[in-house]
Amino acid sequence: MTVTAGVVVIMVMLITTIMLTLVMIIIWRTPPVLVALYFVPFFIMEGSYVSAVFTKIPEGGWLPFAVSIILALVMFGWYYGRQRKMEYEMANKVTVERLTELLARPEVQRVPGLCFFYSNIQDGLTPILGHYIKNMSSLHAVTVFVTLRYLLVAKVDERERILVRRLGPNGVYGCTVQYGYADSLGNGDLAAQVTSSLRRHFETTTEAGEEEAASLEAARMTGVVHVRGKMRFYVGDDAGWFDKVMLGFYEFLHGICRSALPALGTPLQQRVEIGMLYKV
Amino acid sequence: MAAWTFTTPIIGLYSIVHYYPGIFKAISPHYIVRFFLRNKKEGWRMLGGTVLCITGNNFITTMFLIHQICCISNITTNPSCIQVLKLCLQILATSVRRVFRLFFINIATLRSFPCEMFMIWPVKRYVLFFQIAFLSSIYPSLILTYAGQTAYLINNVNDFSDGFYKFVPRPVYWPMFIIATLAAIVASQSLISATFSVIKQSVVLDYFPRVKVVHTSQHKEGEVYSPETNYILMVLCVSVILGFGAGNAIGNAFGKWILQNAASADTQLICSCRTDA
Repeated sequence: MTVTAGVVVIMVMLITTIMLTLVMIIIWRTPPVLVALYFVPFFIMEGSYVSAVFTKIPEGGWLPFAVSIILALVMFGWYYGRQRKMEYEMANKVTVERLTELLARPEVQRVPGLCFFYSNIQDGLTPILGHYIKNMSSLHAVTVFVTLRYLLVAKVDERERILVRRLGPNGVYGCTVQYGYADSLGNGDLAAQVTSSLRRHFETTTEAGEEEAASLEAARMTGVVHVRGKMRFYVGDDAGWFDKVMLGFYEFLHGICRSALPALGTPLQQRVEIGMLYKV
Repeated sequence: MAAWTFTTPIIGLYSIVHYYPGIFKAISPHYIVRFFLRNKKEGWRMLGGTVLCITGNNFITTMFLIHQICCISNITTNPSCIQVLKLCLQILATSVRRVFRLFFINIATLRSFPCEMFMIWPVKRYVLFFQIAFLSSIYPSLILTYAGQTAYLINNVNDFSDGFYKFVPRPVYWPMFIIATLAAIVASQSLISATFSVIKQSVVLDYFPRVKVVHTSQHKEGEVYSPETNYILMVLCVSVILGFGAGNAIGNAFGKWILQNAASADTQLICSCRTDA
């Protein structure tokens, strides 16, 4: 036990020295002479301790290494998967023009109802949307794309809580829900809040506002649905071994961890989750 | 809590006077030169033992000091507390260089987190406060405690395995035992919450799978609790103790601490570099 702790303590000292040197060079832009004055003596001192402690690794010093390797793997697997997913989403995001084009197709019908479509892309719309419209050949008459934005403040002011805007095509709106760490998203009817902000938005902006408000109300009366898109990797046979291992691992992590979209207090009966596979 | 910082140096002083008043000679660097001249390569191997000494026997002291510093500077509630905790571990070696280091890195920590960049004045006050607290109470307290323990050990070489409890004089043994245990409990608590902070920061930066993070305070962003992390820590901690044997009285605290450390050693500064750049 003591050996384990000893290895960790001395490694922490050495790592801190190296990290601080990096901070000095990269962020503070300390003159190199001063950096060297700090780094050389501390590195020699700690380096000699570390080298001496390394002789004790078989006696229990391996434990911290084992734990950190596992953690590093988890972190790297997660980061790699996120990176790949982000790249894909960025490359395939649906722009407003593309959406207009999709909706203008003759086979695409607008079905009555109000649809909340959740995604986590801040600018542009998730590729899942394109997938959805193409395959279902339909979109709800009033569709609101909801993005959550987490801010580093305790509470977001009521007025800034929900930001709505009109996207190009008729009956399609964008909405950003901003929340701070002390705001709870679980209570309150999000659908009602969003519709009321939309109504306010209509009143203040356009002359055709009343018409839009009426269609919104009609859609709400017909039925509300909350759609969440989920994108998963499909690791094909032709993927490299590295991708196979890492993305398989990522899928595993993704499967056991929490959803990025917290429970928003939407009724379970109105929830729909749609998935899309991204072939690597 | 303050009891710990003030009682240990008193015992330290007592033991210096009682066993080996000349202990302060050890501060002179020429001894290390003589040590290496005499022991050659064996001296290098012994360095390993020295590290284990400072981490092993004085573990509760350290744990407590970490907490103490956190309390004084109100850092436990801060996302950067982990960095500070890590720094505080360096007090272990009880040498003057630690003070300089602490000073540098503390500033590094405070400058790195975006949420803190908005509060320039409190940050300045905070660094100064930290330094005053450290220099005037904790550092002398540590020096006296360690010097006292060393003085005791020089005359009782065979007690090395249980240095701290043997060095406490008989009449005050039980009161000290209680203070030490309480200190260790509080200290390990601060380490656990530090782990939550690190995990939270990593999740925000998308470096770690999403886990549930509960903000327990309406005002301080750094006060978080993560149930999943807590259970993982518990499982790892229990398995460390089962694997390595629970013979050691401080094993419990150790387990958590080791894991927390291993988990956070590298993450924090990397994260801070990224957010800054």
